[in-house]
Amino acid sequence: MTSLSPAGGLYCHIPFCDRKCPYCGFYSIAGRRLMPDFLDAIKMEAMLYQKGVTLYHDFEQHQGFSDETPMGLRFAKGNENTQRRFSSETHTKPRSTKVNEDARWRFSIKNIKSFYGEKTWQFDTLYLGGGTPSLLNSAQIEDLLLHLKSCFPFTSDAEVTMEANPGDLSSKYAEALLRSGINRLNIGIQSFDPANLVLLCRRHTAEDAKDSIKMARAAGFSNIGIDLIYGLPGQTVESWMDDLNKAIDMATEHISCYQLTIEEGTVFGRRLKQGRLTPLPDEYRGYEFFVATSMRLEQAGYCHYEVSNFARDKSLRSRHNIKYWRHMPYLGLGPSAHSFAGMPFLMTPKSPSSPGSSGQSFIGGKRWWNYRSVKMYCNAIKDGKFPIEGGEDLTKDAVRLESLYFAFRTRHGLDMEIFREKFGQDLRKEPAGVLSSLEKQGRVDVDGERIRPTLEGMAVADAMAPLF
Amino acid sequence: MQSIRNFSIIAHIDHGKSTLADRLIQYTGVIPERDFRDQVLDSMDIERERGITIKSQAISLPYKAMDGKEYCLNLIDTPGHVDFSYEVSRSLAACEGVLLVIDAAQGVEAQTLANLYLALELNLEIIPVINKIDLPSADVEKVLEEIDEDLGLNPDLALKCSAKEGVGIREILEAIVMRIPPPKGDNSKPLSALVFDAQYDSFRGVVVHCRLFDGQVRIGDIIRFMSTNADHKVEEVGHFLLNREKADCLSAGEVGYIIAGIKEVRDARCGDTVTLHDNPCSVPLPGFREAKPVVFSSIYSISTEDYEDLADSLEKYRLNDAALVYEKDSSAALGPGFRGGFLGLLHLEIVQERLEREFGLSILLTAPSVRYRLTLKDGREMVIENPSLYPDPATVEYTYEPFIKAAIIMPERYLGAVMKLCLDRRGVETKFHYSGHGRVELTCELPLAEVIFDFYDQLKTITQGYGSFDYEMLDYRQTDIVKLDILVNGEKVDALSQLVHRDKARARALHACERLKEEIPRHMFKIPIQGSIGNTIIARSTISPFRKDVIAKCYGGDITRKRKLLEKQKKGKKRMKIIGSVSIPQSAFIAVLKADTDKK
Repeated sequence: MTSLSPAGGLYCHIPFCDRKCPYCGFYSIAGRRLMPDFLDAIKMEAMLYQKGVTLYHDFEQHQGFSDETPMGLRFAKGNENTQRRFSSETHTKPRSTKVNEDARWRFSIKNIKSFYGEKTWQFDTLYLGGGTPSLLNSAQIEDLLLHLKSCFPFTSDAEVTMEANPGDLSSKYAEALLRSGINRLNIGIQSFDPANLVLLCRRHTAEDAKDSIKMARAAGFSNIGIDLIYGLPGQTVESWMDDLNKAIDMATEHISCYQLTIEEGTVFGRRLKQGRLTPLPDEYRGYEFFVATSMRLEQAGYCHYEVSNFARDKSLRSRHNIKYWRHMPYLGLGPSAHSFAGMPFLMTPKSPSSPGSSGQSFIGGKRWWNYRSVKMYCNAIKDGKFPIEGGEDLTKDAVRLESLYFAFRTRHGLDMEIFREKFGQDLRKEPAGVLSSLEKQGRVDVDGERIRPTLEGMAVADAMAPLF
Repeated sequence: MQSIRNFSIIAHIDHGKSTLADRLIQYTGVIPERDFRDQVLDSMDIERERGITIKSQAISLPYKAMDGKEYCLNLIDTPGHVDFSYEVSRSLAACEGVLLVIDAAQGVEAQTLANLYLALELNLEIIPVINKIDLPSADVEKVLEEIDEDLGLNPDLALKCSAKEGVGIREILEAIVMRIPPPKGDNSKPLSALVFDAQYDSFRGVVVHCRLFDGQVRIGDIIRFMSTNADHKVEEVGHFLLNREKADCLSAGEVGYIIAGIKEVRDARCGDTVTLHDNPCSVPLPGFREAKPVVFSSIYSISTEDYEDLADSLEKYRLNDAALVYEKDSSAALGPGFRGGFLGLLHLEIVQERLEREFGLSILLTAPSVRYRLTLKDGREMVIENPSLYPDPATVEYTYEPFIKAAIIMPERYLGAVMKLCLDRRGVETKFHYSGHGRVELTCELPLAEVIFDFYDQLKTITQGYGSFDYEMLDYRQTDIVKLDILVNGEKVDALSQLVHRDKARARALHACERLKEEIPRHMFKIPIQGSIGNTIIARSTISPFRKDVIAKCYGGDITRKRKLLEKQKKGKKRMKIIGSVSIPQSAFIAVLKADTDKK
């Protein structure tokens, strides 16, 4: 009999945009020419993972090789030519380092299986991200969702999120999405300020932004999130507060506020290199933005539960995104999507009757990722292969370091007792004095076994993690 | 002996000394084309990169001259820095003539002058060679004028060449044959040979490079070094071609090598005279001087576990550098280490770089110091060069510091700025005289301590590279020294303590505080950095804590990338020294030691 694994998250990357935004580092291509091929491929990919009920049970059959075959290696060699042929056509080049990692990485199916035993992977979240998922019409969305539900078991209360561009939302479209099973919309507003929308080269207007939220609401969505960007070239904290107030007025359930970061391979990234970008706020100004954002939203009733994320209620936090920050399993479909499996300890409820058992549990995991190219992705699947570009085995220490920086990013923080059991490190004592001095400096609050970052701490989460 | 010519090449830096040497070597065909590489005589990476010569090298060039006779031209390459001026003088002493290379575009410059005077003092034949005549900016006429007016040499005798293009090489070789006199010497006299270098060979021990003035030396002879009276049995003698070429015997006038089971280069000191045990010469050749360290600094391994490696490496390194002396030292901040004595600041840098490169060490050197003499109130005297051993100031009656006599030659227009530099550096007895057209020689008595702290770099900057600098040790004079301590987050970093003149303490302390502020990465907390004399704080700076350091997005694709960055950061941190819960990178120690030439 097969039992269910702890619920994971399913992510689908829809890598199409009408045009590339100058700040966005996510993988996508402009134009919809490859959309039909892609939709076929992602459905196939889901089937590759679904075949056999137990997780990856029939993996090897589909690969055409056995448990011990280093899959990543096979892919790298098999697709060398395709990669070369198509890389010039992809808008963001596949990251070159991946190819090497790929060659080193050994994707052993046995290992993945052992994480879960003979359990099925089930999902309680589905997230359609991109790219611009709202470039798909409602029929395509419905078809994709139906297919995914036929491939994997979803819990009855699954959170099903779709990212949407404000300009794409019409009443009819929103209603259709709701009917097809989407129950959470995340709208890429970015700003309500027309000047900022021009700077960011967004194709919607400030009016579109407001209308889209109203339309989604009218269509019946009860869980709406919006994305905003701050710290733009030349922006002041005051003008950002105006923008934020408009967002608060819209009374959405969830708000993500991202400080603009310049990423390599984007238009802004190139401008920065050439010295043609108006200077962004420095660290101290960035901190002012960060604090002002948090205070304003907390005041308006939103909980600052992660560096860039705010929710009206605990139940309205992004269940899907939280999986990334707690080493919960997730499966990513589509080009450039990342997957993670591992950490059975986290997923097994602690049994008080066998305290010794935790010491034997395996702490580690695997993370793997798909080609960052629609063509290579589609070709691999056409050949009946997993479109995996590379992956890594996470050592216990890697998981430990990740756990720390996740913890310092989130209001959730971490439980020192669980941490000690998993990693054998008593954060109170090792390294000596670090935790107590962070507490003294007002970077963390320690309450019993729980450590939570303060706002000042969250602001430096990346600097705090390596201290332990 | 009539067919031998011993010569050296001297030039201002970048005037093409190494390229000319390369061409001469190529022309005579002593190295097969396929084995040839540029800067063939500079065998160390550090020499090639810095474009300087640190060790002397010699090579014998067989040459058939226009007169139809075969000649043996011994080229002795010399180091080119004031720290090694003694070594240069010994190399030149082994020659009868020099090629004085002058860049056709740059003209006569300062750095050659000190060496030129050395050559004149030794009565060597000087052949001016104007190089780089192929350059569009070459102005041969002007250079000829300068040779006449500034150098006082006959411009009619100057040769013109382009070492890069291989033009005029034959004429130079002919001039060496025709104008440089053959060595004089007598094979029947007792052996007298000048050691101008010694190198360590891990298979054969020390290879002594020498020039024979009188007598002969053969395998089996017992040789004696006259400064130490140490005897060694000769195992091999020979000449320098591309590699060592064994010979039966070395004769008067020749340049060659002797291998005699000598274990350390310090047993074959540069400038020493080699003679025979059985038939010694009556007086050694003139000019021998024991190399005395004048600059001191402590050497630590970055990680204390590497101390043994450092000890081993120093031991090996010393085999090939007779000038380095060292003894054990230790620091509360840095653990066990060594106190080293060096010929000068460049020598110190070279030792550091070679230890790092050739032995793969990660090391730290503390601020360089001179050797002070103290008279205590109870009448006792002590010598001190290590700040950590500085006694309670209340017990010190008088302090004395070493002075040097500096000679600086430069174009007239820089005189004011250089005089100001010397006065800033507590210089006294500043005098100058005009030595030729537009040139001034400035002499000045300076505390050595002021010279080892970035004086040379400053001089180069002020004179735009046209100032040449040479110095000799003078005497000890009374002074007022304090011990400057540096505190990071309230904790004294003993490795950063310095002995400085009271008047300079505040400026030096400010400098240290500022540089540390730049070099120490920010922490979660505010870090005060202070400079103090005793309990009095005289300078401070503050490193502000992190305010914002977190990526905005942390989803599927961001996690691995971010973790790898953090892992790298952690690794870097492991190489830092933790003092007062502050992680201090190696670069911070170096920055304090380096003056801020570029910031004044």
